[in-house]
Amino acid sequence: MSSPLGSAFWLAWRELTARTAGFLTSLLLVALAVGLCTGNELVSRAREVALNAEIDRIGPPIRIAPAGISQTSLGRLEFGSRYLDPELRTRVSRRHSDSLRAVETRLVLSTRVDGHETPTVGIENAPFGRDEVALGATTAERLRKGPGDQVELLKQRLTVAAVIPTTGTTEDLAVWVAREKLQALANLPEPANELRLYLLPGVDSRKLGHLLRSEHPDLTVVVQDRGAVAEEQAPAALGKHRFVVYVVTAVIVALALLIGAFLNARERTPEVATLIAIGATKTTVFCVLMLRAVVVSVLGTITGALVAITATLLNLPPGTPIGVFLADSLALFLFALAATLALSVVAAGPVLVAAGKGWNGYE
Amino acid sequence: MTESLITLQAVEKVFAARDGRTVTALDRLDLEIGAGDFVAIVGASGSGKSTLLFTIGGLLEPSAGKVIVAGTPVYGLSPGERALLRQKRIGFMFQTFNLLPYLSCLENVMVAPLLAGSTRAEAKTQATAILERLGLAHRLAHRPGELSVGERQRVALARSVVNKPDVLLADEPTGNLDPAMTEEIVGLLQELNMAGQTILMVTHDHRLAVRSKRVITLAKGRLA
Repeated sequence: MSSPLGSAFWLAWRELTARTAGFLTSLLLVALAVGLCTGNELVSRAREVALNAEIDRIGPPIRIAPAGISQTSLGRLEFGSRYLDPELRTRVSRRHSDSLRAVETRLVLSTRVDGHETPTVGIENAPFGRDEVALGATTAERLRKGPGDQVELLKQRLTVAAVIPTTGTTEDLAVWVAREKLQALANLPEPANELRLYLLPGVDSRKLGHLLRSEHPDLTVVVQDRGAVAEEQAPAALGKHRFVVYVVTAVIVALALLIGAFLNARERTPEVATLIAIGATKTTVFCVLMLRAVVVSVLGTITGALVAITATLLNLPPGTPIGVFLADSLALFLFALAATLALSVVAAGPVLVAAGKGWNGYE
Repeated sequence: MTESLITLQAVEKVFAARDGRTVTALDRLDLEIGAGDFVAIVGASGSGKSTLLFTIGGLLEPSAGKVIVAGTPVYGLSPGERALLRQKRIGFMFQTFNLLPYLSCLENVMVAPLLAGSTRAEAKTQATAILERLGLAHRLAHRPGELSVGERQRVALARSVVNKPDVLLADEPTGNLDPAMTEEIVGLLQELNMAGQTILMVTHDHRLAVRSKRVITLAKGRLA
C-alpha cells in the first residue's frame, strides 16, 4: 500500500530528474547562495577563534581610566574630560612588576580632524614623527586621505604617515598621534587618561583587577577577559559583511526557487488538472508541488554547505580547534537548511497559484 | 434496461459569465446509464457535453440536482471522498491525452494505481499488463513526446482503465486523431465495453457515435 506522501515524492522526484536543466539550475543557485553564506560565516568564525587564541596567547589587557568612566572603549566622548595622575604609571608598574609585561599610557581625546569629530589616540613611542599621524582604515576612507596627504588636527596641519590596515575594531575609526604631540596640541597639563596593563602569561587578570580596584577605589578598572575582548572586537570585525551577505544570499535563494517555480507554473496548471481527474487528493497535489522546492532546497543546501565547509577546512587559520570548527559547521548547516526550507515554502507560492487554477480549471 | 450505474436527477449547471450574465450549461437534466452500457453523447459546441462529463466525474458540482454514481450521491461526498471515488470507480480520458510529459508510458499509467494506494510493484504489474494488452509493450520506457498521437491516446486509455473503474468517461477521445487512429481507439473502446466496461463518451463525430450502443444528443443543456 503506498501512502499519498510516497506517491507524491515519487512524482516530484521523477519530475526533477526528468527536467534536469531546470532542476540543476535551481540546485546550483541554491548551492551557490548557501555556499557563499556558509563559507563567509565559517571564515568569520575561524577568524574569531583565531583572534581568541591570540588573545589567550598575549593575555588580555587591564585598562585603568579616571573615575566615572564606565567603559574604556576608544572613541567615547567622555574621554578628554578627566585625566590620570601622571605618577600612576610608575606606582602601578613598581607595585605589580611581577605581573606586568608592559604598561602603556594613552591620551584619548575627541577632536575634529578635517572638520569631523574623530577619536584621537595619543600613543607612546609612536612609530612615526611628531608632525605625522596614522589614520585608522575607516577614517582614512571617510576623509579620503592616504600616506603623504595632510589633515588638520586641532588647527595644525599634520602629514599622514600611514593608514593602519583594518582591524575590524573601533580603532579603525581613530587617528593616531604621538602622545606628547597631542598633549601639546590640546594644551593639556596632564599626559594621559588611559593606562593599559599587559599581563605576563599565567597572571589571573580577574584577581589582579580586583587588587587594583581595592588599591585605587577612585579609578575605573576594567578587566577585559577573553570573552569581553572577543565581544568587543570580534563582532565588530565579523558583523560588517554579514548582513549584506545574508540579504544577498536570501535574495539569491528566493530567486532560484521562484524562477524554478515560475518556469513550471504554466505547465503545472494542466498537470494538476490531470492529477485531480485521475484521483489525486488535494494533499497529494500539495505534497507534489511542495516536495520539488523542498528537494531543491535540501540538496542545494547540502551541496553548498559541503563545498564551503571543505574549502574553509582546507584554509583554516593555524591553531583553530577542529572540534569547534566542525560544531560550528554543523550548526550553520542546520541553520542554512532551516532558512532555505522556509524560503522554499515562500517560493512555492506561484506554483500553488498555478495549482489552484488547475484545481478549479473545470469550472 | 440493465441496472442503473449513473443517475442524474434534474441536474442543472449555471455558469456566471464575465459580463455578469449567466449561462445554463445543463438544464434540469435527467439521465440514467446502465452498467455495461456504451453511451455516446453528441451535440454542438456549447451544448453541455463536457460539462455533463465533468459533473458525472465529480469534478464540477452542479448548481442543482443530484448525481449518483454506483449508488453514491457524488456531491454528498467531501472533496477528498470524491477523489477516492475517482481513484477507484471512475476513469477519465481526454482529447488532449493529458499525459505527464516527464514520465514514461509505464509511469504515466502507474500513477493511477499509485494514487489509489497500490504499491510501486503492484502498480508496475498492473500498468505493464494493460499496456501490453493495448499493444504498447515495446513503448514502456518511452516518454509521451516520443510516441505517435495514437500511441499517446492508447496510453491515456490504459491509464483511465488500469484501476478497473466502474465507468470510463471519455471526452472527445478521438478528437485529435486521424481516421485510422480513430478506428483503432474506437475498436479498443468497443473491446473494453464487450468485456463489461461501462463507457460514457463525448464526441461531436456522428460516425463515431453510431459505434456505441446508445446515443444521447444534447442541445442547450437538455436531451434533444
